[in-house]
Amino acid sequence: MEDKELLEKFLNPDSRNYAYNLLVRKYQQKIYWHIRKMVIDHDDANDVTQEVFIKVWKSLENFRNDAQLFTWIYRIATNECLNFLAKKRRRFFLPIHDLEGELADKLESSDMISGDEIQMKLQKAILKLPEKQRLVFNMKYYDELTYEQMSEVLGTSVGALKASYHLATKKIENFVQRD
Amino acid sequence: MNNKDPNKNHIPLNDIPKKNIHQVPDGYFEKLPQQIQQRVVGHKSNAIWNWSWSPSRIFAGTLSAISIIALVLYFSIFKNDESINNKNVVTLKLPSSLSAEVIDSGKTENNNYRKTNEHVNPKPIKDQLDNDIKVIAHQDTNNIEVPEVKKQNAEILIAQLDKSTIAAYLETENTEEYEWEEVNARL
Repeated sequence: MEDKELLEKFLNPDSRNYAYNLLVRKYQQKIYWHIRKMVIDHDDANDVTQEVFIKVWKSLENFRNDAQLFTWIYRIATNECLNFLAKKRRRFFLPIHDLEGELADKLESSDMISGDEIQMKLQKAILKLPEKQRLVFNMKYYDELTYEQMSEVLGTSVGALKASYHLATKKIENFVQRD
Repeated sequence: MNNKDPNKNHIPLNDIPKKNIHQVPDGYFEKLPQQIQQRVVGHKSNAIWNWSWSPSRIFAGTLSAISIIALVLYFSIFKNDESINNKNVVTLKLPSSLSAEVIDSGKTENNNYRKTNEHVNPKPIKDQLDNDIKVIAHQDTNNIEVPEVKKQNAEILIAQLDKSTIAAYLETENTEEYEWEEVNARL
C-alpha cells in the first residue's frame, strides 16, 4: 500500500488501527536495522524501535505531506537513537570514547552477532566514527539512501553529507588497515 | 626506488562484502507489530497517567494550585463576611402576590445594578437604617400604593417604597419571605 493511502486510512478513525499496523509492518525492519547499527545491542534496539513507532502513532495525525513518510519516520528514529546514546552516556557518566568501547565490547560478546574477522573489523572501525558521521555512513553504505533523502532526514546539505561520507570512508579504510 | 608500498595493508571498502552481521531472535519481526500495538493501546488507555514531570509543568501546576487556593479563600472568607453584614442589616419580604416573573426580573435588574455600581459603597446608606431592621412587605398590598405591579419589576417596586412605608410593614406576620440581599443599597 502506498504511503498516501496509508495516511488516508490512518486519518479515518474507523481504519486507523488497521493502517497503523500496516505502516509498522512496512517500515519496522528498515527502522530497526537503522537503530540496531547505532545502538548495537538488540534489546536496546528493540526498545528504541518501539518508542519510535509510538511517537509515530502520536504524531502521524499532524504529519504534513511536504515530506516523505519514510524520511519522516527515519528522522524520528535518528533522533531517538541520538537521544538514547546521549542518555546512556549521561547515565553511566561515560565519555564518548568509553561509549565506543562499550559498544565494541557488545559487538564481541553478543550472541546476536555473526560475522567473519573482516566484518568485525569493519564494524569496530565504524564505531570509532563520531556519532553523526556514523549515521551518515550507515545511511549511505548500508541503507543506500540517496543524499537527498539523507538531507531530508538529517537536515544537512547534500554537499556536506557527501563530504562527510567521503571522510568516513577514508577513516574506516585507515582503521581497518591499521588493525 | 622504494619497493615498500605504504598501502600494502590497505583494504578498500569496496573489497569488503557488504553484509549485516547483526541478528535478531527467531520470529522477532512477526511479533514486533503486536508488541507495538499493545504499547499503543496501553498508551491510549493510560494517557492521563503518563504524565512526565517537567519544570514548566511543575511551575504551571503550582501556579494553578495557588490560584485555586486564593480564590477559595477569597470567596469563603471575604465574601461570607460581606454577605453576613448585609443580611444582618436588611431582610426584605416581598408580597406573595408578586409573580415569579416579576421577582425574577427584579433579581436580574438588581444584579445588573450591582455590576454597574460596584464602586458605590453602600455603607453610608446602610447606616441610615437601624442595624436590625427587617423590611417586610405585607402579603396584602392594599395599603401600599403600588401602581401597575405587573408592569414593574420587583426592584422598581422596592424603590417606590419610602422608608416610612417600609417601617409600617415591619414584623408583619403571615408573609412569604423572599430575601433580597443588599437591597439596602437601593434605599
